[in-house]
Amino acid sequence: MKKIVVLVLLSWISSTVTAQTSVGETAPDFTLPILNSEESAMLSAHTDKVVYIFFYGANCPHCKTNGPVTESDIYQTYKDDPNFLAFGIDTWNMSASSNNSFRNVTGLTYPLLLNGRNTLNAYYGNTSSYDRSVVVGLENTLVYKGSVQVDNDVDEVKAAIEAELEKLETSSETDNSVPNTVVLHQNYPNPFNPSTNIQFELNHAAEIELAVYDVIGNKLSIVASGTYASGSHSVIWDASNYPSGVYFYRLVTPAQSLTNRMLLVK
Amino acid sequence: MLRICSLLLPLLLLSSSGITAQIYGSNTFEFQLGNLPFEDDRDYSTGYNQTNLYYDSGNISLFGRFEQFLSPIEERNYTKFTQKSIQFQDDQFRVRAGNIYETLGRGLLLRSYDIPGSVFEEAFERTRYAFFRDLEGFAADFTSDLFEIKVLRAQPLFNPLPPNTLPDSLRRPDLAEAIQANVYLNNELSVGGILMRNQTFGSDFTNYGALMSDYSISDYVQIFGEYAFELEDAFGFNSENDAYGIYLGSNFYRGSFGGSFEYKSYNNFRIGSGYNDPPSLIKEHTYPVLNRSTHVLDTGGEHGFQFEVYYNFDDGHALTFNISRAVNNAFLRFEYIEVFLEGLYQVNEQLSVKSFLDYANDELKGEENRISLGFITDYLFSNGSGVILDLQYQQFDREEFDLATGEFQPNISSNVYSSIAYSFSSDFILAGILETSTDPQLTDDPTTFITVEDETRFWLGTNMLYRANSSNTIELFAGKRRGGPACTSGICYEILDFEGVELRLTTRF
Repeated sequence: MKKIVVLVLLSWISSTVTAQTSVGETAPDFTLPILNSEESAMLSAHTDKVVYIFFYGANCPHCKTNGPVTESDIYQTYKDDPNFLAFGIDTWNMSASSNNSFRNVTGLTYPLLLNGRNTLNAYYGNTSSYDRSVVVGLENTLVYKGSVQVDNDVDEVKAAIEAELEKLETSSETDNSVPNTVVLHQNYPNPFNPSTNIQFELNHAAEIELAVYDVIGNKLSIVASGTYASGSHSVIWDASNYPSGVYFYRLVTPAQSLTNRMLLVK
Repeated sequence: MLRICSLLLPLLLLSSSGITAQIYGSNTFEFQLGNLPFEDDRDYSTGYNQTNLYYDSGNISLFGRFEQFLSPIEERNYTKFTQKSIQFQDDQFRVRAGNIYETLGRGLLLRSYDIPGSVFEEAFERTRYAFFRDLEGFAADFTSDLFEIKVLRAQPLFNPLPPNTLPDSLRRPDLAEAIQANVYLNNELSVGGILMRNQTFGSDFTNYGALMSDYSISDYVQIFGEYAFELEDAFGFNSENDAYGIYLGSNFYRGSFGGSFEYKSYNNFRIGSGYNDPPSLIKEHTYPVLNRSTHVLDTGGEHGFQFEVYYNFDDGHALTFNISRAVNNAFLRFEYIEVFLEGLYQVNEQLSVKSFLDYANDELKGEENRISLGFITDYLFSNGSGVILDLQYQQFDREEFDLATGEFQPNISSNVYSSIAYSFSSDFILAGILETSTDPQLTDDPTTFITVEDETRFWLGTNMLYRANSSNTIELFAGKRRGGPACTSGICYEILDFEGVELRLTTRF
């Protein structure tokens, strides 16, 4: 473990610009392609997880030398916890080949996401703050935003992850006596053409919105909205006017926000 | 600072009446019409202008730099006085305020720089600005035959952030305060020390020290060294947590033979936002295929050496041999090793030939058995015109991921650089440059995430340079220009690919 040098460099810089996100706020959502996969990763699909993010540049030399610590000290420590996820995000918008080379050199085994320059800008307000660690907690709340290179704040990152995981455990224990408020089922059929059923359950009446998004996060259609009674509900989404591809559907209630993925094949 | 300078200027002008004064300067204007490959901004036209103004009168000097960037996108634009400084200097004493440049010791603790004529383009905003890292504050130094003292209190520029993103004051997160003293014990030996403290906004000061010495063993051999460290870690460089930098070197020559040897060891030695810029010791080449492959120092954990010898023959020929090695050991071990041989042959008064051969292994880039070679001829015709032919080739092994098998497979990539330049006179030069690459990192389109393109990529461009007179130069580029890493004087940065037309006008007055 390298010596901790607590600097506040870019958190301070970030606080002076408008397009950035502070700890305690909702983390900017992203939907980014996963390296070597046809699928994308969407942050808001993981509101019930603790998400660690390593912002790197695929050809950035110090990201290559520092990257291995995120694997050995962070990912390997928490990877067996089902409530933990890790993503690396390339902020230099380099090719898949460059990112595979980065993966090979650093030995990272967690998913790497491509084309993340805009995402970095949404978090930091600039695109010079790569080689940074970020922790997104429950309900996608930003709980830690690194201001130094990732080798210098490993202890702070681990403390933030553990605090969030602890909250989750406490919450689970409480939830044993109180059933889940909302359940969002996988759509059926899936893959589908051209329409599919989406079923959800409420244990008491609530104001809801069920909407469909494309892979870059654009809201395409509101399938259901308004006050729904407790019990099971089913709605149909007709995708006749949309091309084949991956879509996400998201159910938002005052208590929870849940997201699932579906595949339209024409 | 601008206010102080503007108040002081009339006083200085008055006080210096009767002394010869001069105002001089330079202006660089650059216009681009084109785009970055794989980006959305197609046919994006921008203008960048930089004016440098100098005023000298007796012991007083003033300097100002004005930069302006204009594009169709308002938020990317700026118009700023990015530098202004005032200096008083006599035979022994110098004091400066404003935007200044200073290096402490051999640069382990602090080095600032300005790369004249360079225009850096930030990838996200595509905003262009001068590439420098100055210090804003004040510095004073006194030099005598016996000793030299420097003091400074200044904020280094965090130059990855372009001027349009933040006020200048907010692009300077660090504050450095330092005092340096050197004592010349005799003509051969000097010893010195530095005390410095750094504060990154909102944090406590961190204290650093350095000890250094220069010793001329004889007329032919000089040795020097510097040990810089965080004060609480002084002389404890056995621990992986300690922050220190060690730099030792020697220069030697005898007649036509000469050389140098340098050793470095840096550990956890990143100061503030990373403004300390210690010597990297890996030879920085000007040949394009090698310059792009320059090893970038990681002060987090790296040690290594470089050794170079040269011999200048009587008839104008010269040979240079260099071997360098760097090992990064912050977490995983990455070794870089390079062996370089260069020859210059003065065939006759009209023809000179330069060639090089280079072998390297660069684990951090995943490149093994990297072989580079080049052949450059410079022929001068009897009418004063000339032609330069430059051919360079590089190939290396790097494992590439095969999506079909899900495994990394061996692969050989190559880069070619070729150019031909014809100078009608020293004032008018036309050049054509053709580059190719089969490196998947360059052929693969970053916007097609799952598909890996592997067709050879080409960059063809033309350059024209015309010096209208001693004050005005016109440069015109048209075509495709390859980007990538570039290094100048130990400073490495990324150049963006460009496709289009670029006009640059340089004026001195």
